[in-house]
Amino acid sequence: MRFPLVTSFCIASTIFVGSAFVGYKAVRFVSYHHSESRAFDSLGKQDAQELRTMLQTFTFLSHSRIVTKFEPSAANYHSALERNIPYLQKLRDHAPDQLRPPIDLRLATDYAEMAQFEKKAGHLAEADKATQSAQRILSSLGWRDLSADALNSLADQEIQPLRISEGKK
Amino acid sequence: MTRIMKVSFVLSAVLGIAAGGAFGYSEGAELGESMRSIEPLAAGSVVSEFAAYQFHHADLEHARQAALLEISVREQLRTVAHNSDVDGALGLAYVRLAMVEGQAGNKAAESHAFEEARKWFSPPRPGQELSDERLKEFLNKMDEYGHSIPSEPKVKLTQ
Repeated sequence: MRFPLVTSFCIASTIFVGSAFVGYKAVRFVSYHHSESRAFDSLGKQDAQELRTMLQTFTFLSHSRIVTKFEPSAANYHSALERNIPYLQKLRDHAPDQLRPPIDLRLATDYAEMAQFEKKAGHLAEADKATQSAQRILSSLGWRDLSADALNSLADQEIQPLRISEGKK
Repeated sequence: MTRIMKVSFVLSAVLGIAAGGAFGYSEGAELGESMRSIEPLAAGSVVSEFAAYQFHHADLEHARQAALLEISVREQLRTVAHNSDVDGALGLAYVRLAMVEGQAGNKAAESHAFEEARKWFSPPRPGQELSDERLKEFLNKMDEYGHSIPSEPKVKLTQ
């Protein structure tokens, strides 16, 4: 009789922990999205929706920058850029027209950085391709100088913290 | 399996879901609150930086569009957050627009934008207005430092 009691207690405990975990995850998800969907309701439905879209778009954009900018090593930085570019393109595709230019600038910066990495690795064809992508986007943003120096300067501003941290090592 | 065992298992599941749900509900609501305080900062930073880049590198029309986008976003942010930082950032967005109009040679539009900018800053002393040059200087310093997020605009602008 003692053995089934212990087994039952163990099974019941496992069920409790499993259910608590599932309940926690599900309710947290629902609660967060409910709270997000109700935010700014006082502004009126359309204004609140516009504000939510703008905030989410720029928060994702800001997050994508943090993810690449603070990568600890050059190898990780390169792969973070490779992941970030399609992510930004997807974000751009879903963003309203008026919010696209800041995403475009971020994309151009990533391409400029990518071009530098590829050039240093001796992948000249890939470097040229990335350079052309950056120039095409910056031209659409009205940039006056699309030279290699201008692109390097744009990329350097992003890579600088990485270089400083690597220099310290 | 006895009936008691079945009941205790069902009870364990129900209690587990209730306990996890209660914890998850409060955490989800807290997460939502945190995001609502982080998102305006991130959005403001993105548009300020974009306007600064465009001002220094793009043609006047694109720089103007970027400045107008920053003003539009900052005004939207003001509908949900009222404090001196938000107001100062909106003021600086108008200074950016004024500088673009100044470069374009649109004196009337430049003056109008500076007037709009001044509305968002407290005057250094009662009855004294911040000069256009002082506002320009402040924005230029912000651009040199990084991008236009004022921490204490009232203190730094005091002459």
